[in-house]
Amino acid sequence: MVPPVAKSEEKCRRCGASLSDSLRHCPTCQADAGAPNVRACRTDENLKALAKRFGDAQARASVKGCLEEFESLSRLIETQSGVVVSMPARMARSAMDDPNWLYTNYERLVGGRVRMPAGPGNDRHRFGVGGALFGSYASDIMYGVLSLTKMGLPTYGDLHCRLRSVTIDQRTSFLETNSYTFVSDYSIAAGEKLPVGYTACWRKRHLLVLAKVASLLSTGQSETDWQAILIRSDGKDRNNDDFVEAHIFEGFDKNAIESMIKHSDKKLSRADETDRDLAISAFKSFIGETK
Amino acid sequence: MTGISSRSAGVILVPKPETSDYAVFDVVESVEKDPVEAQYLYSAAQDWEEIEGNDATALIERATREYWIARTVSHLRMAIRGLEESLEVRVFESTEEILGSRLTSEDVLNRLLVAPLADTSASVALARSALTHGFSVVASVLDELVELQSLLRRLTDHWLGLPDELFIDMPESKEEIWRTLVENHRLSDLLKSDNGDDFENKWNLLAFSFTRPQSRTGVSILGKELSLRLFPSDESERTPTGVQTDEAEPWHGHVERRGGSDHDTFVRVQKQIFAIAKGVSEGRDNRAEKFLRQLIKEQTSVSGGENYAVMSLCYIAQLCADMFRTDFEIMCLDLALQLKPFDARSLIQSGDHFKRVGKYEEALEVLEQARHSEGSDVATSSMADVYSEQGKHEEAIRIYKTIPDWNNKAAVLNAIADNLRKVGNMAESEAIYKSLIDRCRRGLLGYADSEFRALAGLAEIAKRQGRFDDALCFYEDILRREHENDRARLFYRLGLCNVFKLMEQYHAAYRIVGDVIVDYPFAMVARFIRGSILGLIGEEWNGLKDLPEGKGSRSGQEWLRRYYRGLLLFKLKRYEDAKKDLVEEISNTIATGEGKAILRLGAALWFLREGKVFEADSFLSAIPDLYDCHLQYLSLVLRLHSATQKKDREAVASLKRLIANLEVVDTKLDLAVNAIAEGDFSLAITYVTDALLKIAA
Repeated sequence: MVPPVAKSEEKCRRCGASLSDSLRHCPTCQADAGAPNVRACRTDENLKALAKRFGDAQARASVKGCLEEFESLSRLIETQSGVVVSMPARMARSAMDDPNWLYTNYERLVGGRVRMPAGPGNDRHRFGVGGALFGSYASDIMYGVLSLTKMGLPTYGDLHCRLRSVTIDQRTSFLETNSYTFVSDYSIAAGEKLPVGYTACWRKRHLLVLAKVASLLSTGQSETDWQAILIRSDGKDRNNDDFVEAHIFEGFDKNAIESMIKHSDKKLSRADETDRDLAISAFKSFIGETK
Repeated sequence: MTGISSRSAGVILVPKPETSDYAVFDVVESVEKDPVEAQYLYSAAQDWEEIEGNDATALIERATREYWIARTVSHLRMAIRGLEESLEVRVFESTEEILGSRLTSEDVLNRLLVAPLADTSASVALARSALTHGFSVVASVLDELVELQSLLRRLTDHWLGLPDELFIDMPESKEEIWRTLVENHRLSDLLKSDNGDDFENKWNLLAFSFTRPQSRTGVSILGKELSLRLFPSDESERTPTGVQTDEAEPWHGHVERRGGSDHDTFVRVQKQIFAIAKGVSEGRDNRAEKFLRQLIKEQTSVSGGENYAVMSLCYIAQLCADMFRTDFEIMCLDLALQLKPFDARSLIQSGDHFKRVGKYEEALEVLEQARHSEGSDVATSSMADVYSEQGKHEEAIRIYKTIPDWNNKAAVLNAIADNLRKVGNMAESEAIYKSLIDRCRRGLLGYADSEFRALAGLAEIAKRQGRFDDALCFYEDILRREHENDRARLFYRLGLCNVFKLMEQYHAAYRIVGDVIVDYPFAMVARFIRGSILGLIGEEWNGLKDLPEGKGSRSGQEWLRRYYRGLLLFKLKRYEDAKKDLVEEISNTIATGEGKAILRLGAALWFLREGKVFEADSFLSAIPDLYDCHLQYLSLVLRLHSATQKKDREAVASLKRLIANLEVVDTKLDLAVNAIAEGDFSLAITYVTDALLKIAA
């Protein structure tokens, strides 16, 4: 018996069968239709809404007299931005030590075997965030942030790993903000349609960023200022973080990591510090070996 | 209860009671994680595993242990692959700390044995580095890892060569079985199996890790098959499986110099020496020798480094002497003499070594050589010590007096006073000690260090005369003051401890000797004394831990171990075992004078309990004149015991008269006399045994 799958209006380019919104492969011929989160961003409706938000942002920048900054940032995002995943030191060390290491999320690993951890009521709501955004493939999504540099969010780990674009660009989408904030702000329930214009695929990520941050632009800003606008965090409380969230379909291994750096301000225990430095050291050797 | 644990993430999912929910517990921070935060928990895909435990606490404990093992193994693996020095040292530090608190070396070693190393040279280098930096536990683990590689390769070759048919009936895969072996069993022990039976017995313990009967049967079949392959012939022809040692390396030559200040170097060398001494104390001679070789290579790699190497060797030899490892001691001294054949210190220490092992002629020969090098006075004095050791005190005094200007040399005068004391010439001895103290207090040149030793001499006289309070005052006076000679302080502390023992203040004695052991972990005499104190307070079993059966070579003062051990076994009514130490080994034991007399008292006790009075008498009659009132009293009580058993009324009366003229220094002995008079020999023996345990030469 074939498991029920959500039907899509999209057709398989190979066999013409209807694709599922939540499956990467055509259920009929198994041709790769592309990551479902990316396909969800590429709908006409979303692209149009995104383009409109971008156009409005551009107009506002023009009125403020900072069109030049707007365009510079847009170019930078298009050409230099990438995804950074932050991870705890112990995890990074383990990743660098184990040749077979594959980065994957907890939900995917244990979801099939045990129920999700239960907590207070609002937590139950938050557990629904992944489902609200991605449906049945939520457990296949790895989270990261869009960054202009090698730095990511310190609240999510001790080490920042920027991923090689070529390894993720076909399977990564972006959400304008933290998914919990997004689902909460728009009161999205599971199964409901998402507001359009707030997600983007890799090639349109600059539109999403500019639509979000245009109001924060001012004349004379540089790349450093924009990184601070793109990722805002007090390093302590995740609730105070603001960033563009990257959603990577399925995991990655250490070959996908382009750079690994420590967060300079973060105070770690001696054990974590050793783990962190070991991870960086091993990463450097690894890069040296593969070059 | 089943939990799901990730070693890389350091978390465990613990089922919540009466629900189907799980709590996420961080085993590193020892906290339950916020369920929302847990959503961001990423880990290696392959390391989530189900683990079993009786309750949540057991699950968390197991997951915590597994995390630390995995982390430590990961650290060492990364270090083997190569790290920059500062990070390598941090890994050593962290690993050493974990191995000293959370895990044992075996835990980590067994996991590292999961597969043979592709190249052992990196591990060898890492072990050396660990040792050079003073991390002896890490060095030991790495060293053993390397040592076991050939055996591991042999086992894995046979394992991989096992036919698939052997695994057909087993629900677990070949890989799962191997993993269970590595994680749940002491693979290192299995590798060191002596023969096929030994291997099979150890292997079969693996069956307990499987619940299904077919798995257990399968494991047993695998064990038999492997045993046959590893030990194809019978035991007499079996392939040797002893640990293979590396090819002999030269003792000196070029090695890479370590950076750091002189102080760093000093601290590092100290740690290396400690690791060597630890290896010797644990009987891991191969390792100790290897570490020693590394140290000497490092020290001799620089111009003039031979002097430092000789100093290190002499110091290690001294530590070995303290542990009665005279075999390793002489090896160090021989090496020192190879590096610098006429080094006075090495020659004098060699002479001292020969003296302690009873090779008096050789001692005198070596010291004669030393006399012709720099330290002729010390060599002469050491020659006199050799005579003193043989009980030839008059000859010793004569030789001391050949040292030029001897009557103005504090050390020589002290030695003469000691010898006079030993022949019972207490008055003359006391006069010399007092004169030395006086000269020192008047600030005369050359007497500054003599006061403590002279005071200790007076304390020993007081002790022998039964004036324990005076002895206590002398020792306390010595120890109240600052000392430059730390090693001498060790003996004064033990002297004080012995006085407390005689005064039956066992807790004070125990506290002192315990502190001494902390400060001088390799001073075996201190352990022997502690063992005797434990015996006196009714903890004979614990006492025996400090008095293990002797394995090493024999030397002076080692007789104390046999003597105390024999008495503890005697107290435990293990008379046949006690006989070995108290009676049979006497002829092989190196002891002279008072030491020999004490041993004879112990042997007499053993025979008296057996009712063999003639044998007891033969030991008692060989005891020479005694100058220690406690020993005198003891000797008379044992003679009285014998005479009473023999019903020799005349002797009994004579002995009673002699005893009555003595001051009672030990009330237990007085009680023993009463018990003998009442014919309760068993009770008398109980009192005498404790009195013998209190003795400390």
